[in-house]
Amino acid sequence: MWTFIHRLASPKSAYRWASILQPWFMSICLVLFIYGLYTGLWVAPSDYQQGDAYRIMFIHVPAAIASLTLYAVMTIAALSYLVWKIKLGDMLATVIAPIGAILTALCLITGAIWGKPMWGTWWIWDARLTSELLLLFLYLGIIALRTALPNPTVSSKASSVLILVGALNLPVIHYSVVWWHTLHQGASLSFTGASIAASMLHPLLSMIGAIYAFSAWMACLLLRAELLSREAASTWVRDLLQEKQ
Amino acid sequence: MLHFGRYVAYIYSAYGIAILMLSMTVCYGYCRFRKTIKALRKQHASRP
Repeated sequence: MWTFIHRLASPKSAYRWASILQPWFMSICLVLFIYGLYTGLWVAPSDYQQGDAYRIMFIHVPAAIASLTLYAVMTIAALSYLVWKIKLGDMLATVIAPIGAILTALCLITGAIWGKPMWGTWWIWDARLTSELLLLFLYLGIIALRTALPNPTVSSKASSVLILVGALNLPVIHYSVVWWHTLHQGASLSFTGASIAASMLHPLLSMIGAIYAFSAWMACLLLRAELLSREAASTWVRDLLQEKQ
Repeated sequence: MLHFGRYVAYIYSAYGIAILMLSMTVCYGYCRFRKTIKALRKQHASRP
């Protein structure tokens, strides 16, 4: 089992898998995104309370869910690097941080655009919004810490520790609407069911799938670049470059 | 043009920003990959 995991996590094997999976994730992302946009903007009916403004949710909710999931994946990757010294874990954590930061920023921006007509304000220091803003700062801090420290081993270890500490924010974000009286509404989607109509659920699920596929596509692409730059001296990179010429 | 009533500006802004940010991420990813390949080729070519 461990031999299999270590073989799979070897840089050469990881590069090969990322190259194979990347076009698949790209195709899935494009198909689901186009379907989600079409059904979300054209097919889904208007909400009886929010009118058409609820359509912003089709981009806001997937970005919010993905921002949390990516941080959870980054935590597992950082843990694998700190505990088992799996280099791929550190590389994965490095490439996930900018994708997570973009999606968190997108979640906050689209949330503010929805909040203005619905709540009458762009921003409020609500528990959910504030903890999500903290997540953005965590992502940015991790990126900054990696680039600030000149020693790669020290920067990897320091950012992995920061990732693990920051993971405490994940349950706070998720349960903030339960623990505190917030303006932000509770979850409409859960593993046990959904409280929204099927005609609105389809585009939402499609967009969630699209954003997940987008994250995986970008992670594969950035991981390939990271693997190549870190393993520049190894023979498999030299052979690969000769093959491509 | 879709008819979203008085929310049209909000919906177009949200989707416009989303598409812009996601496309910029794609551009960043591909540019970084190409740059890495270019730098490595240069590095390997300069070696004896």
